[in-house]
Amino acid sequence: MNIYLFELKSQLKSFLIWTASLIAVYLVFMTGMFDVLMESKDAFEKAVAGFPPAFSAAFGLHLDKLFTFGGFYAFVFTYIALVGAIMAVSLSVAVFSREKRSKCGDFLLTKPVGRGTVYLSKLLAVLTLLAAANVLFILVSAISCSGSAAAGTELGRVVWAAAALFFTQLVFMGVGIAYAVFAGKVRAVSGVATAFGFGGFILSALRRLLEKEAVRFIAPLDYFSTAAVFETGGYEAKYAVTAAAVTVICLMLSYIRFTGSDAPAL
Amino acid sequence: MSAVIETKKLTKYYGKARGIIDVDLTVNEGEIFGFIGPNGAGKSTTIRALLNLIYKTSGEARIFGLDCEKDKVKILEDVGYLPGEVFYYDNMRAIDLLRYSASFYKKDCTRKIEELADILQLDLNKKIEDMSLGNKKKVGIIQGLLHSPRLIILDEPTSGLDPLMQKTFFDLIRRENARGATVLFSSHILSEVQRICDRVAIIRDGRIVKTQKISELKQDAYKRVSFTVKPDGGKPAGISVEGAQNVEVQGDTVSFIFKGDVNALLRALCGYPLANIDIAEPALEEIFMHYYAN
Amino acid sequence: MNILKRELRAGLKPFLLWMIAVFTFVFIGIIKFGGINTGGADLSKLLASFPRILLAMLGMAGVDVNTLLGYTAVLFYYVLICAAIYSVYLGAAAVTRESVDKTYEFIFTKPRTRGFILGMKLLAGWLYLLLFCVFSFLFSVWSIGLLRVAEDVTAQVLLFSLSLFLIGSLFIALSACLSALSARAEKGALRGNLAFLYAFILGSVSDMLDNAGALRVISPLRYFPASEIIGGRLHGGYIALTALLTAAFLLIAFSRFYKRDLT
Repeated sequence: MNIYLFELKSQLKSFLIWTASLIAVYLVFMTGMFDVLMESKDAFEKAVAGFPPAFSAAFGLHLDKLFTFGGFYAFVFTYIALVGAIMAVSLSVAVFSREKRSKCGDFLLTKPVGRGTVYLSKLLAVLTLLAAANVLFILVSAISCSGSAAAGTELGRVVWAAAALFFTQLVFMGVGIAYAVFAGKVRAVSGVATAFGFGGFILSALRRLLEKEAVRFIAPLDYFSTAAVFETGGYEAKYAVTAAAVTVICLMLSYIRFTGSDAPAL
Repeated sequence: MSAVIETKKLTKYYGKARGIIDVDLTVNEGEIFGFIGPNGAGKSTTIRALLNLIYKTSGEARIFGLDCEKDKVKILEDVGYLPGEVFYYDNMRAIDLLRYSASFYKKDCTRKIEELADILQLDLNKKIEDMSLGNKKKVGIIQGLLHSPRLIILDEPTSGLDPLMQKTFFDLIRRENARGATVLFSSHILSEVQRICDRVAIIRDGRIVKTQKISELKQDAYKRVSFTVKPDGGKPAGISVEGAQNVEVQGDTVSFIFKGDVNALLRALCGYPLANIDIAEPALEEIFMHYYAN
Repeated sequence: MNILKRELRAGLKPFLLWMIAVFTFVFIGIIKFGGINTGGADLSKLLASFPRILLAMLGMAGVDVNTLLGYTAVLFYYVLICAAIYSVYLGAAAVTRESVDKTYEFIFTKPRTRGFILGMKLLAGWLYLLLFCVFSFLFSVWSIGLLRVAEDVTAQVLLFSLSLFLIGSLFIALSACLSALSARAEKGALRGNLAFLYAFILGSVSDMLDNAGALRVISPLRYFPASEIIGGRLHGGYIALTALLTAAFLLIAFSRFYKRDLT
């Protein structure tokens, strides 16, 4: 319990900044930019009308849906998820490499708590922060979509779409924890977080350019497609399973490593 | 008298590299036990295996009769540990760290923290990273003692403390010992160990060379003697007195290790026109050389 | 020379990891050129009718992805992101690495000036950035060669790589400067990465506007936009600006590094 509270307290400031950025990015896209985009709707539709239907799938874009709340949401989700991914990696690496960075592993490990407890307390702290951020995020999404532009969108689907952020963050949390536990040295949390976040972003871009289904398995920002949520009301099972598998494997491996390895001498 | 620490053939390899081999160690309740050896001999490895910071390769290690790996958490309730080099979380005041440390134990440690800070004259409201090495060390000492542990493990604790603070520190350890705490004290400084310990184990190249009482070690007390004769006194050829070993002559200077009747030594030295004389404790290596010679 | 050698050795592993990632990305990306399913119609025309915001978010503003050059330009924007993140790391590492590893007492008590040591570290970083750009160039030219197209785009790819180096240099200097100004190492790296994020956001915003105007001056990732490079040139004024800013940041970094307390 004390480790859990300690980690929560240590990450509080960073958590607040990240949550605020996340919501700001969302609002810029889904209220500000969406409104601007809607203004060009008619002109665009006229221009596109003459193109064959196969076009609409180019770049994974659903042109017919682009000018709906859900369509645009799906389109910008990569960017929102990018911020979320950086946040998730940053929090989990900060929490799990704290002792490594300040070379005080001995301090914590000579306290009367098992390493399993230490691991679980830290994991729980990260989960709590991510969950809290997402509750806020979902609330903001739900409230903002009741505005005029989004009228007619089913609330349940908006919530599910927003929850995609949480699940994406869980994947990055798993990867971040694995990195923090397995890396010999963690010098700068921010660098690691930026690299992982943009790594995911570039993989998503690659997937869009290649239009190959297989690439999506290695593009974690695309595991939870909001487009699918707005169309069918749920996620695509095979990618959700992939995401779960990646997360669980990362957590399991890092748990084994965390509890079973020699603490490095200074 | 029951054993607080007991290891049997405790062995640790780091991959293929030697850590410690077949270490048998018994530390009894209430004693201050010295653990001495040169750098890299395996002192820290032994201690880290006892604390389950590292996992043993084979053998057995018990504290309070409990297995060091299986019952680690229970053991650590009653263990205080002070490492040689202290590193703590960035951006924390001493008091924050100590409170965090105290939160791991099922007792109220506030009084003890204040008391210890008072004895060590440490300002708890300063940030740890802004402290001097010695003050960081004090934070470490308080951190290791604040829960009044039954077993205190000290790994080369005195580096960074000035002589006055060293004395305060030793007084503190003696007080904890009087309260009933058992102490394992690792060091590479013989005089330090002689000053405070009841018994001592000597480790070298990963193996325990000898375990003996300090009182016996003192009877064995070796001296490193070196003297220089005056330039007009002629070249000394060496010294002949019972108990002198490893005699070396370099120009005007004779040096040797001595164990025996000091009166006889002084009488023998009186025969030389001395320019300078130095009688000191031998370096640890020289004692080891003795143990190997035997 | 001994410092330079050691720094180069220390930086080899991250460099190789980055290179493998970039190589994989460029190779797969280019090999798949032409795979966009357009149903046989003219993609360029479709894209031209897109609102600019959408194109910007696809990273395709101002370029025609239907041509090899335009497509390569899109790929190179992502390589540029990698180069910028890597450069932030290189700059911050040069200033703070010894502090983070608590080895600063070792190196800064050697008979060399602080400036010399920092200079050597930055030089090592710059050499790696140079290699990054050279290899990105070679990978791309080689991959494009595999496509067996008649079009020769080597000159433009060279310009792309050159722009990587220029912008990378700016980020090395900026990140070194921010780290030298920060009392704590972790803060320095954080500021460097935030600077990159800021540049990324500004770059995206200026893409969304039909005319970036003054915004271009403060969005370094867009100093050398693809449209100009495809046209066969790097904007001279922005080359000068990049060089000027790089020099200024370096100057601040060095003068600050001389005066600060080492911890």
